[in-house]
Amino acid sequence: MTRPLPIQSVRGPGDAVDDMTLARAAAAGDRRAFADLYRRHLDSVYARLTRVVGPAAERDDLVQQIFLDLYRALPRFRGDAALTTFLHRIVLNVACEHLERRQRGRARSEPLDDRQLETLTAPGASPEQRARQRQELRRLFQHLEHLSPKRRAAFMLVAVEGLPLEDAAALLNASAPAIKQRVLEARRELAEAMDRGAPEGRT
Amino acid sequence: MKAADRDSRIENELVAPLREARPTLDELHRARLAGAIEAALDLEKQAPARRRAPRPAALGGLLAAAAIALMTGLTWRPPRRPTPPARPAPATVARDLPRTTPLLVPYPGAHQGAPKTGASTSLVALPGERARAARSTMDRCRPTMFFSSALRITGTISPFSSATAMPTLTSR
Repeated sequence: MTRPLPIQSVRGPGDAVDDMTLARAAAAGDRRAFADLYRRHLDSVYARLTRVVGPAAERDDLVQQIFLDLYRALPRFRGDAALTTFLHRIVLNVACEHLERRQRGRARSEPLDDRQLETLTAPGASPEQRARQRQELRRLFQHLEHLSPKRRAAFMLVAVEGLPLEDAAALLNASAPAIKQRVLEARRELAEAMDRGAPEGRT
Repeated sequence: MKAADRDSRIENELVAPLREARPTLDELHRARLAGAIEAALDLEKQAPARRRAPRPAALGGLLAAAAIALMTGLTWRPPRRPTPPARPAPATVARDLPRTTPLLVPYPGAHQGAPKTGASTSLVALPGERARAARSTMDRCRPTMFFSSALRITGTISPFSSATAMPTLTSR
């Protein structure tokens, strides 16, 4: 019988404990400190992962893999960069590896169903608006399937999330000019895919 | 299409909807993810070496691939060439044949080589020599010529006449 991770924080709202302290405690084996890190960063990890890989069914497995990788890597975390940067490098590595596996056909790639797309729609919208939004998102993710994983990640970080080139380069372990080039190529490929009309992606 | 038009189209049709999409997690989903991560961490804590070990699925795949490779190696044959016309099989020595009763039994002393035979004119047999006939058995049995001297000696025929001589009593 496994002990469930405490959902509620063990510290009060006023206890401002920075990520570095929690990371050191978690690296020393403090599972509660790791639970605090998990709760603090789960939303951002889930949102970024969803934008990069799409609302695929295997997102939960990838989230689990990301936090397990973080737990294993925490003893090597020296604090040179922010823990957020350290964590989101893991996120993008896991996402790109998953996209590469999917493009090579090793991972399961099934068409997105309405239930998966429903997690991305606005909660307060009318049913008609939600249906139209789902249709639009399905078409968008089909276009994104044409991109290579590196270009897709760079496009998502720079064009969609609006990160500066330097920040995106730090997350993707590349230079800023390389990221800029990837975004330009991604825009060109996406425009060509949209000009072709009906997408032929595998999403 | 100009680059500006292309970028504006991508911005309107692709980037803006993606920005509006907000993946959200409800509490149940969070709890389920937290439970899965906690279980995985407990599993790692119990068996830290298992993480480095190959997964059972991968190990099974490796074993299956090795078995297939082994079977393929055993049953593989090089591509056949056009078979040349059949040649008569070379004679093989008897030791390669199964042990059966030999039809030709070597005579004792065969290991000493071919038997020696003396000269046909010699009347003395050397030790170990085979008896040797001057004429073959068939030649000796077949009457090739009429030997008339015996009849002359016995007076059956007359040397002076072809008629048979009759014995006559003579007195002195």
